[in-house]
Amino acid sequence: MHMIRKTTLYIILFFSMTLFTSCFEVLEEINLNSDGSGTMLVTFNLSRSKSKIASVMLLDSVNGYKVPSKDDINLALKDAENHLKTINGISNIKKTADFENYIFTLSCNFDKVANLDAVFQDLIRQQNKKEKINFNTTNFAYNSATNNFERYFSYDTKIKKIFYKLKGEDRKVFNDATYTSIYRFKNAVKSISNTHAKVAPNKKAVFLKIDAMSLILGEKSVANTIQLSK
Amino acid sequence: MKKVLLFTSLCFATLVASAQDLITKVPKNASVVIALKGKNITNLVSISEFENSKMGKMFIKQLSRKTDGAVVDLETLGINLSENFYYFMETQEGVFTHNFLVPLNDKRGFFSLLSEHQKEGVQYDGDFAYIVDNYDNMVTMWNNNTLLFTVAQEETDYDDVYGYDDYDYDYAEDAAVAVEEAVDAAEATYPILSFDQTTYNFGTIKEGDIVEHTFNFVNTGSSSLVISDAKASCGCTVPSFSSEEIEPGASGTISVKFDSSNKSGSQSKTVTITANTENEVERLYIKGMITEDGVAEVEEVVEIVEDVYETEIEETVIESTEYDDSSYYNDDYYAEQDRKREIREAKRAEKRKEAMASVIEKAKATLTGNYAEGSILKNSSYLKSVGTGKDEATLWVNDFTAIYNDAIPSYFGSGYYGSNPYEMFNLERLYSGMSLTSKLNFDDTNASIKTSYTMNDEMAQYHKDMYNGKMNSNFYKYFNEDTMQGYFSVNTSTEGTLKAYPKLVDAMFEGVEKEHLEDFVPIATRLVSILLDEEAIAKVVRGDMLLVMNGIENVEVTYTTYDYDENYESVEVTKTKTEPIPKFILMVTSEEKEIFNRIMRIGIKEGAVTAENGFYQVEIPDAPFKVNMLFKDNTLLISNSKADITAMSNGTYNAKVSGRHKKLISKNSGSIYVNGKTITRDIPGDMIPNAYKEKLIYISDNVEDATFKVSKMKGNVLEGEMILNTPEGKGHKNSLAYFLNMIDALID
Repeated sequence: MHMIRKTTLYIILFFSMTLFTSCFEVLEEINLNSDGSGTMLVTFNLSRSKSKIASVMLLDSVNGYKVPSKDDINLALKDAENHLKTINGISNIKKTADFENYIFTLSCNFDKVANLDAVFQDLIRQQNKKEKINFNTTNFAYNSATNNFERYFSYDTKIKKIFYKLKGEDRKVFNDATYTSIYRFKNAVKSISNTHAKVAPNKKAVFLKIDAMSLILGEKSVANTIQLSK
Repeated sequence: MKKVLLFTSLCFATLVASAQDLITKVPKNASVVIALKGKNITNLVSISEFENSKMGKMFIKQLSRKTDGAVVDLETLGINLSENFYYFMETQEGVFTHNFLVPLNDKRGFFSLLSEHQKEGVQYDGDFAYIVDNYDNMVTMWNNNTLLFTVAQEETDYDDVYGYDDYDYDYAEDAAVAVEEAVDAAEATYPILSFDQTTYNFGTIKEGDIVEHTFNFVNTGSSSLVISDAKASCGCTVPSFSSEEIEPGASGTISVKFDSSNKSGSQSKTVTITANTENEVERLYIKGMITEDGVAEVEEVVEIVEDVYETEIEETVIESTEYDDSSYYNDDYYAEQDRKREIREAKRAEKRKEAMASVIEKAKATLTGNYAEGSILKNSSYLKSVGTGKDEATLWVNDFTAIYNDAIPSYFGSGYYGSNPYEMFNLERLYSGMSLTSKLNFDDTNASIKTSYTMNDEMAQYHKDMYNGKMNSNFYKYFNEDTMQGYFSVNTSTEGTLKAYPKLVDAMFEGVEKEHLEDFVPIATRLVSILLDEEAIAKVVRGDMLLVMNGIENVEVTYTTYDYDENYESVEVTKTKTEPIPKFILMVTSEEKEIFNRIMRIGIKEGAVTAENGFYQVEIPDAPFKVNMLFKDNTLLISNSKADITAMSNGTYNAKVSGRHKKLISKNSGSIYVNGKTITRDIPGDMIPNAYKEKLIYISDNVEDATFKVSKMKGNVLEGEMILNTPEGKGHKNSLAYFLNMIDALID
């Protein structure tokens, strides 16, 4: 009887997985105070593919990749949280995990933009060594003297190579994925350098939404120099 | 019955008389026989048709390359493809002999396949020529019209299985090769020293304090890591490390001790590590503030600038990690071990020589077909099972117990459970007289594999109890063969299974004296019978069920995303989209509607179940969809399609079933049906990449359906059959040609 149940489950899942679409959103939000402190919120929203993820999560592995369990995901979030705790100037770390809609968030306060940068520095360094890539280890900078906010990003053509090494089936995951960044400021925005970004009518926010494929293929960048008024 | 036997024997007699069929070289006592009917296959697809197919071209290209152009087509290969090929296995006292018989046209073709080295080793004995491969215990022997491979799986002695695992090759040479390989590998890949942090800030300390910190690292490269040195930029800082090899993926530590005596203010020290990494040097930093009282000053620690320390790096040459291995191999202990090993090896070589001689004798007997008891054509079980059908391939396995008993090597003799581990069970009673026959057939519009499993009376009775269930005819009210993509049916008897199982276990342990199993097992099984009310359980689940995949339904699903106001403040919003959901319906026979209703009422209280109009909607945790449940007559219906369940509840479901599917579902104990046509039709077009569209169209145009079924017990025989139906009128000559055509069309 157990075998029959299992067979039934697999038949249904097989059909489900081939049909459900997969896409996800990554959201990076930073609210910056005039003194250089602020809050950051990173959101991974896989809600649009929740049917597919729910199907996939019932399996142990898909296309040769191990499927993470709820415990694995919670552990990864916990690891991220612990990592944040080791960084000076980072406080009020909060995480949420919604396994019904598959939305995961991580937020924190930072004393200085440089603290925020330290969060990713070690991770990026390790990844650079491992994959022999050369990502910039500095992502954010804020100069309080000139009121200048920088989002750094240098594209490495190896990303494209790594991407094309993936199987066609696996590449499809990125087809409908988007990356959105919203930076909100207390002072008005004077100018921005990224032509794909938009400034809010109240001049207090910069919005940038890029499809993952453009980012992977190096067609668009998230780099931006934002000049704020004094 | 006698007539049938006589007829089949006659057919074989004519076959033997008319052609040099190699079946006469298969002995009567063979345990397994596989026949590949070259004639039947070449009738379906001629040799030239195969040669002109993509697969054939690839095959010949390979052959031609391997033989330096000596073989240019299948004819020059010298193998007679229109005759039958055979494989047979013999078992005797733990020795399995595998034999492959290949009909030859021209032995020169085969000879050209041999390497120069093999050609030199050919030995001649009258009409026969042969090569002996000691390493694989294999003899390759041939005459003018037959090629034979005989492989003996030799009975291994105790030492080989449990003890000294030495080989007859040279250790020193092996070591040299290993070193060479290691050097090659090191050249290609470097170990990678990945620290979890490269800078340690000890904060503010008092002058004279000693700070110690351990840096953890992982070798994330693909070769072993060796740290040969670690030096600090100042005598006040002492690093310590281990020079042991660190395997890829393994971790290690480097600890650094900093003495702050006579230091003051902001300090930063660099530790330079010399290792066999690509960069040869890696750096670690420690920094902090030293005050007289250990209290931090308002001023922050000055950030170190990495470049400043560049000049301090000493370029240390990587020290050699190789060690002189001659001392290891020359010591007394090794010499003594070596001597013992040589004695064991000599004994084994002697045994192997004897064994090889008997394999050569066996091969000669096989090639001449010289058997005292005659060939397999004298084996009535074989003749009865395999017959003379026009199958393209057949597999026949004789009496299972005989194989088990023959196959047990004698070194089990001293074991706790006696001379044969299977003595734990009474195999004889259950598995004696069992045989298995499989036939592969390519007909005009279908390809099939049919397997029959013949068992003894007792086993047949248990199978009858378990598998001869009754299919619920109400299932057909909820079945539509036009929309379904496939189904899976099980037709077992829960009551029969629960009753038969204890008996089966009893029979298995009957007469087994070990551990008093004989007395103990029946007590346990009797207990099971008393505790379980088979009839009551069977009322809940009778044992027949049908799962139907019912095509695609577009369902509205909600998801969460974000909207932004004009100032880019984000608001979480719920939107809907339509998603194609594969519909299924699971039907289970049950007579306990009361229990079902009671469970549903509890579910409603708990909030997991919603009562709909006549049915229930159930929230399944972690599942990608909700399911709807309806109990009607004696059937429990479970589906993820609300529309379908509503129609079934109202009695308006559009059912359609033909005799073909009715028969497949109800006349077998289990079946699987897959309709390739509806599946390819139902895949939403926008989900297919353009590159595959053309192929998908070809597939959907050229597939029919496939069935797999396990029959009910008929007498003492259980039959399983897999049938792939191929479409008519699409230019496929027959089902074998169909496969070649599909490969040609789909492979680039």
